[in-house]
Amino acid sequence: MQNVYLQEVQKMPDIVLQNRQAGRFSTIRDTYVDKILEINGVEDAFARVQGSYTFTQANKRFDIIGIDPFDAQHLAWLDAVVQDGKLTQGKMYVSVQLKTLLAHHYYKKSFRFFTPTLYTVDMEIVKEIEAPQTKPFIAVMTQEDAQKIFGYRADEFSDIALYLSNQNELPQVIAKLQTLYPNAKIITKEDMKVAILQRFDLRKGVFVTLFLVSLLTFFMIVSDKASGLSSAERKEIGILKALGWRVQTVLQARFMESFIIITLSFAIGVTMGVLWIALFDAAILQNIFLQTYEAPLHNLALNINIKLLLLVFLLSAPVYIAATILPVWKVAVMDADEVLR
Amino acid sequence: MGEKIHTARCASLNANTFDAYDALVMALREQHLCGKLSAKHREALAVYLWDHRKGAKEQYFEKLTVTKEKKCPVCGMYLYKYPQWVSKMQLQGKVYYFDGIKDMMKFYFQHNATSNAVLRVQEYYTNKTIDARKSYFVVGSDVYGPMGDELIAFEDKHKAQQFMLDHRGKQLFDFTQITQELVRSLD
Repeated sequence: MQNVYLQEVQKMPDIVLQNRQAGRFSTIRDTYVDKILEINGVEDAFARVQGSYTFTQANKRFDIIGIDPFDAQHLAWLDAVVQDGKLTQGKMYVSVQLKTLLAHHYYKKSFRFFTPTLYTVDMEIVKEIEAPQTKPFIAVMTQEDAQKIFGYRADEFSDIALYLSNQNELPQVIAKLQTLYPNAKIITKEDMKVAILQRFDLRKGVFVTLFLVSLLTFFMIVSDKASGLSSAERKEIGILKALGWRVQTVLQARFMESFIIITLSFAIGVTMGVLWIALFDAAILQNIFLQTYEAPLHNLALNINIKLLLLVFLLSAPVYIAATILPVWKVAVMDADEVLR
Repeated sequence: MGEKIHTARCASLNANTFDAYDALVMALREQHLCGKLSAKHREALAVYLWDHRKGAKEQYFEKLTVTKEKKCPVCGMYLYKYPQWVSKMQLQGKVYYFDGIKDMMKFYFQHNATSNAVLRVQEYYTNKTIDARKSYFVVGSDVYGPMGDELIAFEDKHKAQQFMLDHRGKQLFDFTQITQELVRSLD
Protein backbone atom coordinates (compact mmCIF):
# COMPACT_ATOMS: atom_id res chain seq x y z
CA MET A 1 0.00 0.00 0.00
CA GLN A 2 2.82 2.35 0.93
CA ASN A 3 4.36 1.76 -2.51
CA VAL A 4 1.09 2.60 -4.26
CA TYR A 5 0.89 5.93 -2.44
CA LEU A 6 4.58 6.69 -2.99
CA GLN A 7 4.25 5.96 -6.70
CA GLU A 8 1.32 8.39 -6.90
CA VAL A 9 3.41 11.06 -5.16
CA GLN A 10 6.13 10.65 -7.80
CA LYS A 11 3.67 11.86 -10.43
CA MET A 12 2.61 14.88 -8.40
CA PRO A 13 3.90 18.44 -8.92
CA ASP A 14 7.32 19.33 -7.51
CA ILE A 15 5.83 22.18 -5.47
CA VAL A 16 2.26 22.91 -4.40
CA LEU A 17 1.42 26.37 -3.12
CA GLN A 18 -1.54 26.62 -0.73
CA ASN A 19 -2.86 29.80 0.78
CA ARG A 20 -3.42 30.17 4.50
CA GLN A 21 -5.90 32.54 6.12
CA ALA A 22 -6.27 32.75 9.88
CA GLY A 23 -4.14 29.61 10.10
CA ARG A 24 -6.50 27.63 7.89
CA PHE A 25 -6.40 26.48 4.31
CA SER A 26 -7.91 29.07 1.97
CA THR A 27 -8.27 29.67 -1.76
CA ILE A 28 -5.44 31.24 -3.74
CA ARG A 29 -5.56 33.75 -6.61
CA ASP A 30 -3.76 33.10 -9.85
CA THR A 31 -2.54 36.72 -10.03
CA TYR A 32 1.12 35.81 -9.79
CA VAL A 33 1.20 32.66 -11.93
CA ASP A 34 2.83 34.63 -14.75
CA LYS A 35 5.49 35.89 -12.34
CA ILE A 36 6.04 32.32 -11.11
CA LEU A 37 6.57 31.18 -14.70
CA GLU A 38 9.32 33.77 -15.04
CA ILE A 39 11.30 32.19 -12.18
CA ASN A 40 14.28 30.37 -13.63
CA GLY A 41 13.98 26.64 -13.18
CA VAL A 42 10.18 26.55 -13.32
CA GLU A 43 9.00 24.50 -16.28
CA ASP A 44 5.27 24.87 -15.71
CA ALA A 45 2.96 26.50 -13.18
CA PHE A 46 -0.81 26.53 -13.14
CA ALA A 47 -3.63 27.11 -10.73
CA ARG A 48 -5.71 24.05 -9.84
CA VAL A 49 -9.25 23.54 -8.69
CA GLN A 50 -9.70 20.32 -6.77
CA GLY A 51 -11.28 19.12 -3.60
CA SER A 52 -13.85 16.73 -2.24
CA TYR A 53 -17.63 16.74 -2.29
CA THR A 54 -19.82 15.08 0.33
CA PHE A 55 -22.48 12.89 -1.21
CA THR A 56 -24.85 12.96 1.75
CA GLN A 57 -27.26 10.30 0.51
CA ALA A 58 -24.49 7.70 0.27
CA ASN A 59 -22.58 9.09 3.26
CA LYS A 60 -19.46 9.17 1.11
CA ARG A 61 -17.00 11.74 -0.10
CA PHE A 62 -15.62 11.78 -3.60
CA ASP A 63 -12.89 13.86 -5.21
CA ILE A 64 -13.49 16.50 -7.85
CA ILE A 65 -10.76 17.73 -10.19
CA GLY A 66 -11.35 20.71 -12.45
CA ILE A 67 -9.06 20.92 -15.49
CA ASP A 68 -8.50 23.35 -18.31
CA PRO A 69 -8.78 21.35 -21.56
CA PHE A 70 -6.21 23.66 -23.19
CA ASP A 71 -3.62 23.17 -20.45
CA ALA A 72 -0.88 20.57 -20.80
CA GLN A 73 -1.76 17.73 -18.42
CA HIS A 74 1.07 16.10 -16.51
CA LEU A 75 -0.90 13.03 -15.46
CA ALA A 76 -1.54 10.42 -18.13
CA TRP A 77 -5.08 9.63 -17.02
CA LEU A 78 -6.07 13.34 -17.09
CA ASP A 79 -4.44 13.72 -20.49
CA ALA A 80 -6.62 10.84 -21.70
CA VAL A 81 -9.71 12.79 -20.61
CA VAL A 82 -8.56 15.89 -22.52
CA GLN A 83 -7.66 13.87 -25.62
CA ASP A 84 -11.17 12.38 -25.62
CA GLY A 85 -12.36 15.85 -26.58
CA LYS A 86 -15.79 15.75 -24.89
CA LEU A 87 -14.97 17.74 -21.76
CA THR A 88 -17.02 20.92 -21.89
CA GLN A 89 -19.02 22.90 -19.38
CA GLY A 90 -21.87 20.94 -17.86
CA LYS A 91 -20.20 17.58 -18.48
CA MET A 92 -18.05 15.36 -16.32
CA TYR A 93 -16.06 12.14 -16.45
CA VAL A 94 -16.39 9.80 -13.48
CA SER A 95 -14.43 6.81 -12.26
CA VAL A 96 -15.93 3.35 -12.52
CA GLN A 97 -16.58 3.06 -8.80
CA LEU A 98 -18.16 6.49 -8.61
CA LYS A 99 -20.42 5.70 -11.55
CA THR A 100 -21.60 2.55 -9.78
CA LEU A 101 -22.21 4.49 -6.58
CA LEU A 102 -24.19 7.21 -8.36
CA ALA A 103 -26.20 4.66 -10.35
CA HIS A 104 -27.03 2.87 -7.10
CA HIS A 105 -28.64 6.11 -5.96
CA TYR A 106 -30.50 6.56 -9.27
CA TYR A 107 -28.07 9.10 -10.75
CA LYS A 108 -27.48 7.25 -14.00
CA LYS A 109 -27.01 9.99 -16.58
CA SER A 110 -26.44 13.12 -14.54
CA PHE A 111 -25.81 14.30 -11.00
CA ARG A 112 -27.02 17.37 -9.14
CA PHE A 113 -24.41 19.14 -7.04
CA PHE A 114 -25.27 21.60 -4.28
CA THR A 115 -23.01 24.61 -3.92
CA PRO A 116 -22.16 26.06 -0.48
CA THR A 117 -24.81 28.74 -1.10
CA LEU A 118 -27.37 26.00 -1.92
CA TYR A 119 -27.57 26.69 -5.63
CA THR A 120 -27.61 23.57 -7.78
CA VAL A 121 -25.24 22.59 -10.57
CA ASP A 122 -26.39 19.78 -12.85
CA MET A 123 -23.59 17.81 -14.46
CA GLU A 124 -24.05 15.25 -17.22
CA ILE A 125 -22.02 12.03 -16.85
CA VAL A 126 -20.18 11.62 -20.15
CA LYS A 127 -17.92 8.63 -19.67
CA GLU A 128 -16.15 6.34 -17.24
CA ILE A 129 -12.42 6.73 -16.75
CA GLU A 130 -9.57 4.72 -15.29
CA ALA A 131 -8.83 6.58 -12.09
CA PRO A 132 -5.65 6.12 -10.01
CA GLN A 133 -5.78 3.46 -7.30
CA THR A 134 -5.59 6.00 -4.50
CA LYS A 135 -8.63 7.93 -5.76
CA PRO A 136 -11.25 5.35 -6.68
CA PHE A 137 -14.14 7.84 -6.35
CA ILE A 138 -13.33 10.79 -8.57
CA ALA A 139 -15.05 13.15 -11.02
CA VAL A 140 -13.23 15.25 -13.63
CA MET A 141 -14.84 18.39 -15.06
CA THR A 142 -13.89 21.83 -16.37
CA GLN A 143 -12.35 24.32 -13.97
CA GLU A 144 -15.32 26.66 -14.30
CA ASP A 145 -17.76 23.93 -13.22
CA ALA A 146 -15.57 22.89 -10.31
CA GLN A 147 -15.32 26.53 -9.21
CA LYS A 148 -19.13 26.83 -9.27
CA ILE A 149 -19.55 23.64 -7.20
CA PHE A 150 -17.01 24.73 -4.58
CA GLY A 151 -18.37 28.28 -4.50
CA TYR A 152 -15.12 29.81 -5.77
CA ARG A 153 -14.98 33.04 -7.76
CA ALA A 154 -13.49 32.96 -11.26
CA ASP A 155 -10.06 34.04 -9.96
CA GLU A 156 -10.02 31.69 -6.96
CA PHE A 157 -8.28 28.33 -7.02
CA SER A 158 -7.47 25.52 -4.56
CA ASP A 159 -3.73 25.75 -5.04
CA ILE A 160 -0.96 26.44 -7.55
CA ALA A 161 1.08 23.52 -8.86
CA LEU A 162 4.65 23.92 -10.09
CA TYR A 163 6.83 21.58 -12.10
CA LEU A 164 10.56 22.27 -12.16
CA SER A 165 12.87 21.66 -15.09
CA ASN A 166 15.90 21.57 -12.78
CA GLN A 167 15.43 20.00 -9.34
CA ASN A 168 18.65 21.68 -8.11
CA GLU A 169 16.80 24.97 -8.21
CA LEU A 170 14.22 23.88 -5.62
CA PRO A 171 15.60 26.00 -2.72
CA GLN A 172 15.89 29.11 -4.93
CA VAL A 173 12.38 28.67 -6.34
CA ILE A 174 10.97 28.24 -2.83
CA ALA A 175 12.73 31.42 -1.66
CA LYS A 176 11.26 33.38 -4.58
CA LEU A 177 7.78 31.95 -4.01
CA GLN A 178 7.94 33.07 -0.40
CA THR A 179 8.41 36.67 -1.52
CA LEU A 180 5.50 36.43 -3.98
CA TYR A 181 3.13 34.64 -1.59
CA PRO A 182 4.31 35.34 1.97
CA ASN A 183 1.22 33.75 3.56
CA ALA A 184 1.27 30.61 1.48
CA LYS A 185 2.27 27.15 2.61
CA ILE A 186 4.81 25.56 0.27
CA ILE A 187 4.57 21.79 0.02
CA THR A 188 7.28 19.94 -1.87
CA LYS A 189 7.18 16.40 -3.20
CA GLU A 190 9.55 15.43 -0.41
CA ASP A 191 7.08 16.74 2.18
CA MET A 192 4.33 14.63 0.63
CA LYS A 193 6.56 11.54 0.71
CA VAL A 194 7.46 12.15 4.34
CA ALA A 195 3.78 12.54 5.28
CA ILE A 196 2.98 9.17 3.71
CA LEU A 197 5.95 7.44 5.34
CA GLN A 198 5.00 8.87 8.73
CA ARG A 199 1.43 7.71 8.35
CA PHE A 200 2.52 4.17 7.51
CA ASP A 201 5.34 4.05 10.04
CA LEU A 202 2.94 4.98 12.81
CA ARG A 203 0.46 2.30 11.91
CA LYS A 204 3.07 -0.34 11.16
CA GLY A 205 3.40 -0.51 14.96
CA VAL A 206 0.50 -2.95 14.97
CA PHE A 207 2.51 -5.36 12.88
CA VAL A 208 5.63 -4.85 14.98
CA THR A 209 3.59 -5.86 18.02
CA LEU A 210 2.27 -8.95 16.22
CA PHE A 211 5.80 -9.79 15.15
CA LEU A 212 7.08 -9.54 18.73
CA VAL A 213 4.31 -11.86 19.91
CA SER A 214 5.20 -14.37 17.19
CA LEU A 215 8.87 -14.10 18.11
CA LEU A 216 8.10 -14.80 21.76
CA THR A 217 6.03 -17.84 20.79
CA PHE A 218 8.85 -19.07 18.57
CA PHE A 219 11.40 -18.82 21.37
CA MET A 220 9.03 -20.60 23.77
CA ILE A 221 8.85 -23.51 21.30
CA VAL A 222 12.62 -23.46 20.87
CA SER A 223 13.30 -23.47 24.60
CA ASP A 224 10.82 -26.31 25.03
CA LYS A 225 12.65 -28.31 22.37
CA ALA A 226 16.06 -27.50 23.79
CA SER A 227 15.12 -28.47 27.34
CA GLY A 228 15.21 -32.13 26.47
CA LEU A 229 13.53 -34.99 24.66
CA SER A 230 10.39 -36.76 25.75
CA SER A 231 10.65 -40.42 26.87
CA ALA A 232 9.13 -41.57 23.56
CA GLU A 233 11.74 -39.69 21.57
CA ARG A 234 14.53 -41.11 23.78
CA LYS A 235 13.24 -44.66 23.22
CA GLU A 236 13.06 -44.02 19.48
CA ILE A 237 16.73 -43.04 19.40
CA GLY A 238 17.63 -45.99 21.64
CA ILE A 239 15.90 -48.44 19.25
CA LEU A 240 17.64 -46.91 16.24
CA LYS A 241 20.98 -47.26 17.97
CA ALA A 242 20.18 -50.85 18.94
CA LEU A 243 19.42 -51.56 15.28
CA GLY A 244 22.91 -50.39 14.39
CA TRP A 245 22.41 -46.74 13.49
CA ARG A 246 25.45 -44.65 14.10
CA VAL A 247 25.31 -41.32 15.93
CA GLN A 248 25.99 -39.47 12.68
CA THR A 249 23.09 -41.16 10.92
CA VAL A 250 20.67 -40.38 13.75
CA LEU A 251 21.72 -36.73 13.72
CA GLN A 252 21.37 -36.54 9.93
CA ALA A 253 17.87 -37.96 10.06
CA ARG A 254 16.76 -35.54 12.77
CA PHE A 255 18.43 -32.65 10.95
CA MET A 256 16.53 -33.41 7.74
CA GLU A 257 13.29 -33.76 9.69
CA SER A 258 13.62 -30.40 11.44
CA PHE A 259 14.87 -28.71 8.27
CA ILE A 260 11.82 -29.91 6.33
CA ILE A 261 9.49 -28.77 9.12
CA ILE A 262 10.98 -25.27 9.39
CA THR A 263 11.26 -24.75 5.62
CA LEU A 264 7.76 -26.00 4.91
CA SER A 265 6.17 -23.92 7.65
CA PHE A 266 8.06 -20.82 6.48
CA ALA A 267 6.97 -21.41 2.88
CA ILE A 268 3.33 -21.97 3.91
CA GLY A 269 3.35 -18.78 5.99
CA VAL A 270 4.81 -16.64 3.18
CA THR A 271 2.46 -18.18 0.60
CA MET A 272 -0.58 -17.50 2.77
CA GLY A 273 0.53 -13.89 3.17
CA VAL A 274 1.06 -13.44 -0.57
CA LEU A 275 -2.29 -15.05 -1.38
CA TRP A 276 -4.04 -12.83 1.17
CA ILE A 277 -2.76 -9.78 -0.69
CA ALA A 278 -3.12 -11.13 -4.23
CA LEU A 279 -6.57 -12.70 -3.88
CA PHE A 280 -8.20 -10.67 -1.12
CA ASP A 281 -6.38 -7.28 -1.47
CA ALA A 282 -5.19 -7.58 2.14
CA ALA A 283 -8.79 -7.39 3.41
CA ILE A 284 -9.17 -6.24 7.05
CA LEU A 285 -5.43 -5.52 7.29
CA GLN A 286 -5.77 -2.61 4.81
CA ASN A 287 -8.14 -0.84 7.18
CA ILE A 288 -5.30 -0.33 9.62
CA PHE A 289 -3.66 2.10 7.17
CA LEU A 290 -6.71 3.82 5.70
CA GLN A 291 -8.06 7.15 6.87
CA THR A 292 -11.76 7.17 7.81
CA TYR A 293 -12.83 8.76 4.52
CA GLU A 294 -10.65 6.62 2.25
CA ALA A 295 -11.92 3.68 0.26
CA PRO A 296 -9.89 0.44 0.23
CA LEU A 297 -7.38 -0.03 -2.59
CA HIS A 298 -7.86 -2.79 -5.13
CA ASN A 299 -5.42 -4.82 -7.25
CA LEU A 300 -2.51 -4.19 -4.93
CA ALA A 301 0.84 -4.89 -6.58
CA LEU A 302 3.00 -7.36 -4.69
CA ASN A 303 6.17 -5.93 -3.23
CA ILE A 304 8.14 -8.92 -1.89
CA ASN A 305 11.34 -8.03 -0.11
CA ILE A 306 13.38 -11.19 -0.74
CA LYS A 307 16.29 -9.98 1.39
CA LEU A 308 14.05 -9.46 4.40
CA LEU A 309 12.41 -12.88 4.01
CA LEU A 310 15.82 -14.50 3.71
CA LEU A 311 17.00 -12.68 6.81
CA VAL A 312 14.01 -13.85 8.85
CA PHE A 313 14.51 -17.43 7.62
CA LEU A 314 18.24 -17.42 8.41
CA LEU A 315 17.60 -16.01 11.88
CA SER A 316 14.94 -18.55 12.78
CA ALA A 317 15.84 -21.79 10.99
CA PRO A 318 19.32 -22.36 12.46
CA VAL A 319 18.02 -21.56 15.95
CA TYR A 320 15.20 -24.10 15.62
CA ILE A 321 17.43 -26.75 14.08
CA ALA A 322 20.07 -26.27 16.76
CA ALA A 323 17.46 -26.49 19.49
CA THR A 324 16.25 -29.78 17.98
CA ILE A 325 19.66 -31.35 17.27
CA LEU A 326 21.39 -30.64 20.58
CA PRO A 327 19.14 -32.77 22.83
CA VAL A 328 19.15 -35.53 20.17
CA TRP A 329 22.93 -35.51 20.17
CA LYS A 330 23.06 -35.72 23.96
CA VAL A 331 20.92 -38.86 23.84
CA ALA A 332 22.52 -40.32 20.71
CA VAL A 333 26.03 -40.45 22.23
CA MET A 334 24.77 -42.60 25.14
CA ASP A 335 24.70 -46.44 24.96
CA ALA A 336 21.53 -47.95 23.54
CA ASP A 337 20.74 -50.01 26.64
CA GLU A 338 21.24 -47.01 28.88
CA VAL A 339 18.77 -45.02 26.76
CA LEU A 340 16.19 -47.80 26.69
CA ARG A 341 16.38 -48.38 30.43
CA MET B 1 -1.65 25.53 -24.56
CA GLY B 2 -1.46 28.10 -27.39
CA GLU B 3 -0.93 25.38 -29.94
CA LYS B 4 -3.97 23.46 -28.70
CA ILE B 5 -6.19 26.54 -28.91
CA HIS B 6 -4.84 27.38 -32.37
CA THR B 7 -5.52 23.87 -33.66
CA ALA B 8 -8.96 23.66 -32.08
CA ARG B 9 -10.32 27.13 -32.76
CA CYS B 10 -8.55 28.94 -35.60
CA ALA B 11 -6.06 26.79 -37.45
CA SER B 12 -6.26 29.08 -40.49
CA LEU B 13 -5.23 32.26 -38.64
CA ASN B 14 -1.93 33.66 -39.92
CA ALA B 15 0.08 35.84 -37.54
CA ASN B 16 2.25 37.16 -40.41
CA THR B 17 -0.51 39.63 -41.31
CA PHE B 18 0.20 41.54 -38.09
CA ASP B 19 3.07 43.98 -37.78
CA ALA B 20 3.37 43.88 -34.02
CA TYR B 21 2.53 41.56 -31.14
CA ASP B 22 0.20 44.14 -29.57
CA ALA B 23 -1.80 44.39 -32.80
CA LEU B 24 -2.28 40.61 -32.75
CA VAL B 25 -3.43 40.63 -29.12
CA MET B 26 -5.89 43.49 -29.81
CA ALA B 27 -7.30 41.69 -32.83
CA LEU B 28 -7.81 38.50 -30.83
CA ARG B 29 -9.52 40.47 -28.07
CA GLU B 30 -11.72 42.77 -30.10
CA GLN B 31 -12.42 40.91 -33.29
CA HIS B 32 -12.75 37.47 -31.58
CA LEU B 33 -10.72 35.89 -34.38
CA CYS B 34 -10.66 32.60 -32.47
CA GLY B 35 -13.96 32.92 -30.72
CA LYS B 36 -14.43 34.13 -27.17
CA LEU B 37 -11.34 33.35 -25.09
CA SER B 38 -10.41 34.10 -21.51
CA ALA B 39 -7.46 36.44 -20.96
CA LYS B 40 -5.18 33.50 -20.10
CA HIS B 41 -6.07 31.57 -23.26
CA ARG B 42 -5.82 34.69 -25.41
CA GLU B 43 -2.32 35.45 -24.19
CA ALA B 44 -1.17 31.83 -24.65
CA LEU B 45 -2.52 31.83 -28.19
CA ALA B 46 -0.94 35.19 -29.03
CA VAL B 47 2.47 34.07 -27.73
CA TYR B 48 2.25 30.83 -29.70
CA LEU B 49 1.22 32.55 -32.94
CA TRP B 50 3.89 35.23 -32.58
CA ASP B 51 6.66 32.69 -31.91
CA HIS B 52 5.64 30.53 -34.84
CA ARG B 53 5.13 33.13 -37.52
CA LYS B 54 7.28 32.73 -40.64
CA GLY B 55 10.81 34.01 -40.19
CA ALA B 56 10.85 33.63 -36.42
CA LYS B 57 13.22 30.74 -36.02
CA GLU B 58 14.30 29.10 -32.83
CA GLN B 59 16.95 26.48 -33.13
CA TYR B 60 16.14 23.16 -31.57
CA PHE B 61 18.78 20.54 -31.00
CA GLU B 62 18.03 16.99 -29.98
CA LYS B 63 18.22 16.10 -26.31
CA LEU B 64 21.58 14.76 -25.19
CA THR B 65 21.08 11.17 -24.07
CA VAL B 66 23.67 8.54 -23.33
CA THR B 67 23.63 4.78 -22.91
CA LYS B 68 24.90 3.07 -19.75
CA GLU B 69 28.24 2.18 -21.35
CA LYS B 70 29.24 5.71 -22.37
CA LYS B 71 32.21 7.15 -20.49
CA CYS B 72 33.83 10.56 -20.50
CA PRO B 73 37.07 10.33 -22.57
CA VAL B 74 38.82 12.76 -20.19
CA CYS B 75 38.05 11.36 -16.72
CA GLY B 76 36.50 7.96 -17.52
CA MET B 77 33.32 8.63 -15.51
CA TYR B 78 30.09 6.86 -16.52
CA LEU B 79 27.77 9.46 -17.96
CA TYR B 80 24.35 7.87 -17.38
CA LYS B 81 24.54 8.78 -13.68
CA TYR B 82 24.60 12.53 -14.41
CA PRO B 83 22.23 13.09 -17.36
CA GLN B 84 21.77 16.82 -16.70
CA TRP B 85 25.55 17.46 -17.04
CA VAL B 86 26.15 15.62 -20.31
CA SER B 87 27.76 17.64 -23.09
CA LYS B 88 28.71 16.60 -26.62
CA MET B 89 31.40 17.30 -29.18
CA GLN B 90 31.53 16.26 -32.82
CA LEU B 91 35.07 16.38 -34.12
CA GLN B 92 36.42 14.97 -37.38
CA GLY B 93 33.47 12.65 -37.83
CA LYS B 94 33.56 11.27 -34.28
CA VAL B 95 31.15 12.02 -31.47
CA TYR B 96 32.34 12.39 -27.89
CA TYR B 97 30.25 12.77 -24.73
CA PHE B 98 31.51 14.40 -21.53
CA ASP B 99 30.35 14.64 -17.93
CA GLY B 100 30.49 18.43 -17.95
CA ILE B 101 31.57 21.44 -19.96
CA LYS B 102 34.92 21.63 -18.12
CA ASP B 103 35.99 18.20 -19.44
CA MET B 104 34.63 19.00 -22.88
CA MET B 105 36.76 22.17 -22.99
CA LYS B 106 39.84 20.28 -21.76
CA PHE B 107 39.38 17.87 -24.66
CA TYR B 108 38.76 20.82 -27.00
CA PHE B 109 42.09 22.45 -26.08
CA GLN B 110 44.02 19.17 -25.96
CA HIS B 111 43.01 18.31 -29.53
CA ASN B 112 43.36 21.88 -30.82
CA ALA B 113 39.77 21.68 -32.03
CA THR B 114 38.86 24.40 -34.46
CA SER B 115 35.63 26.08 -35.42
CA ASN B 116 34.69 22.85 -37.26
CA ALA B 117 33.99 21.13 -33.97
CA VAL B 118 30.29 21.02 -33.10
CA LEU B 119 29.76 21.68 -29.40
CA ARG B 120 26.47 21.04 -27.63
CA VAL B 121 25.78 21.65 -23.96
CA GLN B 122 22.73 21.68 -21.70
CA GLU B 123 21.26 24.91 -20.44
CA TYR B 124 21.28 24.87 -16.64
CA TYR B 125 17.71 25.95 -15.93
CA THR B 126 15.83 24.11 -18.66
CA ASN B 127 18.25 21.23 -19.57
CA LYS B 128 17.64 22.24 -23.18
CA THR B 129 20.43 21.43 -25.65
CA ILE B 130 22.12 24.61 -26.86
CA ASP B 131 25.07 25.54 -29.03
CA ALA B 132 28.06 26.16 -26.74
CA ARG B 133 29.51 28.77 -29.10
CA LYS B 134 26.43 30.96 -28.69
CA SER B 135 26.11 30.44 -24.93
CA TYR B 136 27.23 32.21 -21.78
CA PHE B 137 29.08 30.55 -18.94
CA VAL B 138 29.31 31.26 -15.22
CA VAL B 139 32.17 30.05 -13.02
CA GLY B 140 32.78 30.15 -9.29
CA SER B 141 29.20 29.45 -8.24
CA ASP B 142 27.93 27.15 -5.49
CA VAL B 143 26.62 24.70 -8.06
CA TYR B 144 29.02 21.83 -8.56
CA GLY B 145 29.07 19.30 -11.36
CA PRO B 146 30.27 15.67 -11.17
CA MET B 147 33.88 16.92 -11.44
CA GLY B 148 33.54 19.75 -8.93
CA ASP B 149 33.75 23.38 -10.08
CA GLU B 150 32.11 23.72 -13.45
CA LEU B 151 31.29 26.04 -16.30
CA ILE B 152 27.52 26.48 -16.09
CA ALA B 153 25.88 27.21 -19.46
CA PHE B 154 23.03 29.60 -20.26
CA GLU B 155 21.24 30.49 -23.43
CA ASP B 156 21.05 34.21 -22.71
CA LYS B 157 23.05 36.67 -20.68
CA HIS B 158 20.11 37.75 -18.52
CA LYS B 159 19.61 34.20 -17.21
CA ALA B 160 23.35 33.91 -16.59
CA GLN B 161 23.33 37.15 -14.59
CA GLN B 162 20.30 35.98 -12.60
CA PHE B 163 22.14 32.73 -11.85
CA MET B 164 25.19 34.66 -10.65
CA LEU B 165 23.01 36.53 -8.16
CA ASP B 166 21.23 33.38 -6.93
CA HIS B 167 24.31 31.17 -6.68
CA ARG B 168 27.15 33.59 -5.90
CA GLY B 169 28.79 33.16 -9.30
CA LYS B 170 32.16 34.93 -9.66
CA GLN B 171 32.60 35.47 -13.39
CA LEU B 172 30.58 35.44 -16.61
CA PHE B 173 32.10 34.53 -19.99
CA ASP B 174 31.00 33.94 -23.49
CA PHE B 175 32.54 31.06 -25.45
CA THR B 176 35.32 33.10 -27.03
CA GLN B 177 36.60 34.16 -23.61
CA ILE B 178 37.15 30.60 -22.32
CA THR B 179 40.87 29.82 -22.17
CA GLN B 180 42.86 26.75 -21.27
CA GLU B 181 44.12 28.51 -18.11
CA LEU B 182 40.59 29.22 -17.00
CA VAL B 183 39.60 25.57 -17.47
CA ARG B 184 42.72 24.41 -15.56
CA SER B 185 41.96 26.80 -12.72
CA LEU B 186 38.64 25.04 -12.11
CA ASP B 187 40.42 21.81 -11.05
